[in-house]
Amino acid sequence: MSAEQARGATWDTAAPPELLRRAGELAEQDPAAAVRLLGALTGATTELPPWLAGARLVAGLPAGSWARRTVRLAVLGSHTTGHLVPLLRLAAAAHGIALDLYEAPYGQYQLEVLDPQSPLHAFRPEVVLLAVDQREARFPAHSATPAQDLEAEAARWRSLWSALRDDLGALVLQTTFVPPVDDEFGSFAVALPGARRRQLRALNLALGDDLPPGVHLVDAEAVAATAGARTYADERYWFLSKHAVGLGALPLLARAVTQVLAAAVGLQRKVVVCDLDGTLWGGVVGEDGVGGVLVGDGPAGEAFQAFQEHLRRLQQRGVLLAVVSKNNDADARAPFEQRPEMRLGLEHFAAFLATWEPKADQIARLAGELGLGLDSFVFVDDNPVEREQVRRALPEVGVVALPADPAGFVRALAEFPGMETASLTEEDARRTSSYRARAEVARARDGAGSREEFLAGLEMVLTVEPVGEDNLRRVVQLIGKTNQFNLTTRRHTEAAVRELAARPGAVAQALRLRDAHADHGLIGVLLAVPEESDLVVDTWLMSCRVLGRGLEGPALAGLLEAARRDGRRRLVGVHVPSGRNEPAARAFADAGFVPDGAADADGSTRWVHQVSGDPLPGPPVLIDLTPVVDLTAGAPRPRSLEDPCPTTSTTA
Amino acid sequence: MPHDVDDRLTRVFREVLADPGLELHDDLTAESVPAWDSLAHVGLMFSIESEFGIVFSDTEMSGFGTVGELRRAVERKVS
Repeated sequence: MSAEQARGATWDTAAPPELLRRAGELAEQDPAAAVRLLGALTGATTELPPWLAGARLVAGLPAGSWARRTVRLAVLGSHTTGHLVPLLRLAAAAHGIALDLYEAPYGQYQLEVLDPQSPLHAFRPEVVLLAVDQREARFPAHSATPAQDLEAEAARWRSLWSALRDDLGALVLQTTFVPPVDDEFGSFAVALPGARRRQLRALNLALGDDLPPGVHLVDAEAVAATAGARTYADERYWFLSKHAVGLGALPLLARAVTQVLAAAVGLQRKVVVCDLDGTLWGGVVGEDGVGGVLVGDGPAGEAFQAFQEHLRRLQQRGVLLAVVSKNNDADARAPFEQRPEMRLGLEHFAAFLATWEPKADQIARLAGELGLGLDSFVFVDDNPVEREQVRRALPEVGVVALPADPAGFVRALAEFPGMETASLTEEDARRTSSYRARAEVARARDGAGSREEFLAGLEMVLTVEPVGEDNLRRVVQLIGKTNQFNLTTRRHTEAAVRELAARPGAVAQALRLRDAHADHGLIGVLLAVPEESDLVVDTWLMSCRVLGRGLEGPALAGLLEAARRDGRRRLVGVHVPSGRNEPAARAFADAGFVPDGAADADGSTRWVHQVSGDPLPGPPVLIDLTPVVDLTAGAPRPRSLEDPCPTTSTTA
Repeated sequence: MPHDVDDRLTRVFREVLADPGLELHDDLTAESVPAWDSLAHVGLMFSIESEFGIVFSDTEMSGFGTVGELRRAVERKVS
């Protein structure tokens, strides 16, 4: 694709100056490749000068040429953020995020939040970073009433968050408080109720308890521990220029902030694709035999075990694991079946591909089977040649530069952009079984009868329920991250969903699907608002896990029922091309709607269905509308949304 | 040794101020280099400390009037 390929460069092993030089050369002809090099830079060093140079390069690239997503980020600091802001731009680029940035004047964060006329409000950020240091926590050196002081301080920060969420509809990120190293109590502070050090730690945990949706903490204490406490808080730079975070710690802080940012906007990686030989165990199973591979014996063997345990914990967190190995299938499986030292079992993998095909081909096919975009994937392989081939063939896939020593594998994967999460839902934990079922279904489809027979054999049950407190977190998560089957790609915040759902005549529904293979959990969202005699679909999205099943018509059954109940004449919908939602272009047609006029200049198409018209087409699906329709039954119903938070002038 | 300090200082200045053609001389002041504002000055101080493994005093960090004064302070500290 580019000069860097022609030169046979291996990004993994390049030093920071080399990465910068090549990125600079590529900036004009291939900005996306330049950004990938700069992403590698953020993993290769935490030194300030190369980060500043990389940040300048990113700032000069047109975002449209490389970014997965542009985010409007406002940085509100209690301290000087002039160096942090450009570093955030670089760290975000490692996630494929382009930042539109607003930096509030030093120390004015409270005014900016509370004044509706402030530049912050005019900027209309999607995300606000509160970069506040421990001096802002209003604790005395030794509190006489620790519990009350703690509660009051936690409440003060929560009220600032509500202002940001309600007035601006922004996601909020806040750095936790890092206690100073040097105080009058030292270690005794840990045991002394009311000591400031103890209060600050308690405050971090108190803020983490009961964190409202849309608010995320950045663990600055962990950043300080990684950087070294005296590097993190270098008093000389506080006195010189009010840099509360030392310049030597800023690259690490920028990395931590953007890990949370990426997860908060739904750009986290979802699948870890692992090689086997040299990655999950030492040696080559096809040559050394199942008894000869190294796992769990001696330092390297224990390091492989530790890496397996890390992967297993990721899997329990909701990340999908897959094996892509150049091996005979039986050889590849043998250690999992026969070696008791193994910490991963075959059941932990959503897919297991051991063939002699190029790995990039296998990963691309896997993405198709799982119905996930390639940018959801991370590839982990000890072999730099395999890594380079995957990088070149599939630039969207994240490729982890594993170090030579297995003891460093966990760190390399944990630090990789996109490997953090911002929330856990029940659906996350259920995902492996659902995706495994999907992969099996994809294979079954190749060999089994007609599509109709196949779909009938799935015995699908689709449940329509109102959007409520119990499912709101997952609904907002889906709205934030669904790209393919997303008709309008309107990234509503939680506050916006609440507002929309509360409008008179509005309909907000969530869809669940289970079938003979798996319970897929909450897989769809529908938001619709009345316009005269029409019910207009504002948002319709479905998880890519359940695409290709002819669910378009059944998915709208609940909306149609609501329209009928409310006496609407027509259901109206629109498809707005986003560049990534081509799979949804025919959604309304497949659901039996007819086009309403020609496409707009931007390619948007409008569709209508008469409420009194034909039933919506679809395969055999049992549609359970009781949660939204049966108002009289005694069955427990999901908690409905509480009144939307009181907002400013615009609500009626 | 002095030449070594000059080269390394020049490299740091060029990196931090993003000015690959910048030439240092002893009479140069912050006012005469547009990119050398107060924020960039802090980045310079930090990067020079890191490059040479030295520590400026609190007074020095905000007190250098010219590149010459800065260079002599660095030479004193590394010798």
